[in-house]
Amino acid sequence: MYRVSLAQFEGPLDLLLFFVRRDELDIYDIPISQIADEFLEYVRLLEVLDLDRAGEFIYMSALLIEIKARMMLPRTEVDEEGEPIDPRTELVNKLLEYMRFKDAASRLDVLHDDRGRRHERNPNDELVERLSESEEEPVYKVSLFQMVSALKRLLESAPEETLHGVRRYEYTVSLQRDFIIERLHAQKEAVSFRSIAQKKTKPFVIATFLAILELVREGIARLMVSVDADDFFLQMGSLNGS
Amino acid sequence: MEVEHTDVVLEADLLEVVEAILFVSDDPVPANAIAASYGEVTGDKGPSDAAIEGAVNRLNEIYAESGRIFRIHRWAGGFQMATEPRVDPFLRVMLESQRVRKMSRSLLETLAVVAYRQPISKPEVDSIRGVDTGYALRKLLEQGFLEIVGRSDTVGRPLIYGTTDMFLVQFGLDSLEDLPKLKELDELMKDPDLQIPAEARDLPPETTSEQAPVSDATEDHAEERETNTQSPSSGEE
Repeated sequence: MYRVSLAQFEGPLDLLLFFVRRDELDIYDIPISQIADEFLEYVRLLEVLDLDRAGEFIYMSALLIEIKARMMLPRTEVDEEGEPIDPRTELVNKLLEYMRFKDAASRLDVLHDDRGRRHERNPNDELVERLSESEEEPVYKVSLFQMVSALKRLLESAPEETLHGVRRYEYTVSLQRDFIIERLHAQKEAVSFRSIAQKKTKPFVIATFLAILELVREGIARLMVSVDADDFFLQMGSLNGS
Repeated sequence: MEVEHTDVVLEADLLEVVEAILFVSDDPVPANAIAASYGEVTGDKGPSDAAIEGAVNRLNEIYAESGRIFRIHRWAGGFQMATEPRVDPFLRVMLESQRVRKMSRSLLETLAVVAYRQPISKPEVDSIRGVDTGYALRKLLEQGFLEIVGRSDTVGRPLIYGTTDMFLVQFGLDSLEDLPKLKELDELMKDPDLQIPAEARDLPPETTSEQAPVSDATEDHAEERETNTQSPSSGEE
């Protein structure tokens, strides 16, 4: 039997393409029966070794067998010109499409290689490290929904007020506004909302949240959200006076 | 806003300013950003994009003539200086080749599908490649080559993906229009040899030894190959 090495192929289309090329088959006239048998041989091998990946290949085997069966039947389906439809057409089109992208991928590879040999300024260790850190916890632009859900979670986790009677809120939006600005000035890095509001009372959290909204609207602060949507980050905005 | 105009600044011509700005920049700088900086100092509207481009071209000529080891490139809509490939081995030693990692075939294929078909959802990428691309997409997102650009209107509203500026910069492209043209199907078909060389290194070793390379078999199949126009790298032989 013709042995092919495993894990060499990107998927069933890739393997099929390999057979076509190896045997120099006319892609528009693939001997389905022969290819299907060979394909199944490979899939059996794969099933033993790697059940996870086998799924995609089994699907393709089923497709090949179906086409093989339809090839043996008289063709009843016709296209708009009355010509019988070749059961292989769909598969062939898929293969061709895949070929285009495989070709494109190898050309991207060449570009990437060439570019990799041109070094721009400052790809230093620190920068690379920072990049890989942010890879783990990417920050996206924050949406209102995410802000509100972050607020909701914090309110839920805020300690319940057990005192009775009417009390004046000890926090106001304008006080919190100054507090946030001070905080942002003191810290060069982005400040997380959680670190500001955790374990604080509800009035504190609400006043602070409103103050943040205000600061963002005025462009004094900038918002970023982390992927977990439980928190967001605050930074001085670009609007520094000018 | 008042800017202190010193004589030194005013004496600097556009060529020098462009060079200086690109010299200190870590990222590609768009022409209009250079023009704005220049205009801010000189007090007028600043030079046109074409003037900036002219200055860049002139600088590259000067670098080539005087044997400088860097050139200005046009990446992701901006200009950036980078060293020439011939000193790469030396730099690689120094930089411990942090950046220059080869991408796996599955990442490259996935990236290619997204680059040419964006915006595109995962099911569509899966369908073209015939495999589950979840891992590759996630990896490419992490590496910053792809980003989520929204949700599709189709059933289930899947996330849709697109490429980033970082993709352009890392592949040395100015814009998506500079991607190599996707081959037309008949073009791929007319030229069967075209597909083989790119793949040759990926074939399993046991197959390459048993199987004569296609390009060596031209005698037996000469008549089948009369439509063959050119080989991809070296032209007619």
